Amino acid sequence: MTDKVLDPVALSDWYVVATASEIEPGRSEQTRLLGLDVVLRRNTEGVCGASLLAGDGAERPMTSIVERYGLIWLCLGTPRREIIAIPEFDESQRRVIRRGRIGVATSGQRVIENFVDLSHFSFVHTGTLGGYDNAEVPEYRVEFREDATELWATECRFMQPKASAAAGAAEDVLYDYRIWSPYISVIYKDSLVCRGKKDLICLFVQPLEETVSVVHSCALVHDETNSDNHILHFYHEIFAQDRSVLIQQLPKKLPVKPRRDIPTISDATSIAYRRWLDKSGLEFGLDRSLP
Amino acid sequence: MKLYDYILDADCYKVRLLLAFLRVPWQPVKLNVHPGRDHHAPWFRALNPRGEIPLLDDDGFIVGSAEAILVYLATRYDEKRTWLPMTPTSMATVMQWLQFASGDLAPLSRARMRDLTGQMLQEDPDRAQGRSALEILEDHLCERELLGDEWVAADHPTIADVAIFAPTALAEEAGLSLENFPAIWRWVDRMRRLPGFIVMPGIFPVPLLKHDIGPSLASAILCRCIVTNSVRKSSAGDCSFPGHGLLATERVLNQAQDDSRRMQFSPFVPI
Repeated sequence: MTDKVLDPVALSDWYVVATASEIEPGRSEQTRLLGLDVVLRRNTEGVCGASLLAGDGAERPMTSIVERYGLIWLCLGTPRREIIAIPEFDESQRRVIRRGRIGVATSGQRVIENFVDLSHFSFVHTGTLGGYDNAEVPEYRVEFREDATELWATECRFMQPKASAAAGAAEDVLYDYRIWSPYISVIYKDSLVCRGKKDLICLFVQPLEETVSVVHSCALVHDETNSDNHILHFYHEIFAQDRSVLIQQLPKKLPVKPRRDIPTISDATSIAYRRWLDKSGLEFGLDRSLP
Repeated sequence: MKLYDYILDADCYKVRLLLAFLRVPWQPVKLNVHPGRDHHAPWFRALNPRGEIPLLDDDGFIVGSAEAILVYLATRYDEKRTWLPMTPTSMATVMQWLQFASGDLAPLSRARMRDLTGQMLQEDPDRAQGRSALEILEDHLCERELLGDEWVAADHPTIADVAIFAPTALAEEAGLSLENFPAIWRWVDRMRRLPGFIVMPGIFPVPLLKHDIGPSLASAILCRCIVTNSVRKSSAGDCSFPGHGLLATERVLNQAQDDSRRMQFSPFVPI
């Protein structure tokens, strides 16, 4: 584990480690990130700090901690870039539904790969995001943006019986997937309430260990009819379905080398993600063995 | 009828499942149990001082605790009285197994919720206790089968089966594999085939394919599809047209065989 923590690629990136409102002034919380113990402590002025906890109990203060989008972001090394820009958080027309922490005993990369996969909809989210009668994944585009620091899958189209809590009837829904980092991805999905607008689903994985993750997520949705709790149940149902599949996948670390997978055309995003991870130099959570 | 409900709670699922079997209409009152802890909010404590879900409100009669709700629903709405038989011996037997569901299997649900809400422990003592309870259940179901009975407490399904089913079928989610519990597998499959059966996240329905290709093949393929998170139109599609994609089917089956651990999704398939 110690070797992996020295992983410079993992250390120089940003991770969500808590929802800001979880930690009240004067309170602290202990968590883990990249196999290390971290203490988050909010002072009485409301400022949240973080420190690394050594084996002997000594605390080393961390400087790269930021509160944004109602979340606490931490980088354990020197950040190589700014935190992901999601301007939709500042727009007022969407409701922000915070799903809380969901634990998954697998690597964060498995969680992201599942998140960006269209072909499981019909079989894992039968009746909401897909159905047996429309299991085929139409072709979509995969591209790199922002100097290849971001991976996008665009023009994804899927027939969904109930695309959101507010959806009334089955519809062909257009998706864009944005993978900002190995552990962070955002879906931009047609709103069925406000035509021409997008709902966002953001997934922020906090890798506790290589194969133990906590998923923080938010849905930014147009919905004027349903209660917060109704929308929350909708998303909890979907993510718990994903989780029950994720905990079965082996190996838990994501294989990234060519010929470790036997892909089909609908796996284009997954394959691009695996090869992109391979090139990134990241070690944490990845299975780099050759076939 | 209102049920104070949380979609991921195994105890709430016990009640939803019996309501579905009995075909009784009801409305959910959806609580934000995680992360909101609504069940500890003063307004909910006023209804249920124990701060626990599920809670049933049937036209003003309020009752909590999943097993008590099952007893109420079966006595009130099951005219044939099969879900809770009333002879002294059968009723006592059902009660004994309801106790098992709420007591012995409770550690499984606790471990599951800890894992699910990101509070996982490295060595969860509840997991070991949950395993012991599953061993008791496995032995019991095995004995029942030898006697020619397929259900926990009678020669037909009762509320004891419903109460035990939820935490047991979700054991994988508590980090406990059901691989070594074949009698439990078979019973879980029988439960899933009862008329009116409904699922919750973590529990999959019996596979339905367009053409009957036999339960083993169908479930092997679907479970392979589900667990690898990678069903392509090809694998699911091929198998619904016999003769058209046997090679693909065979490939899927071989992969499923290679990965026996994943086969636990289709316990009724001895390949």
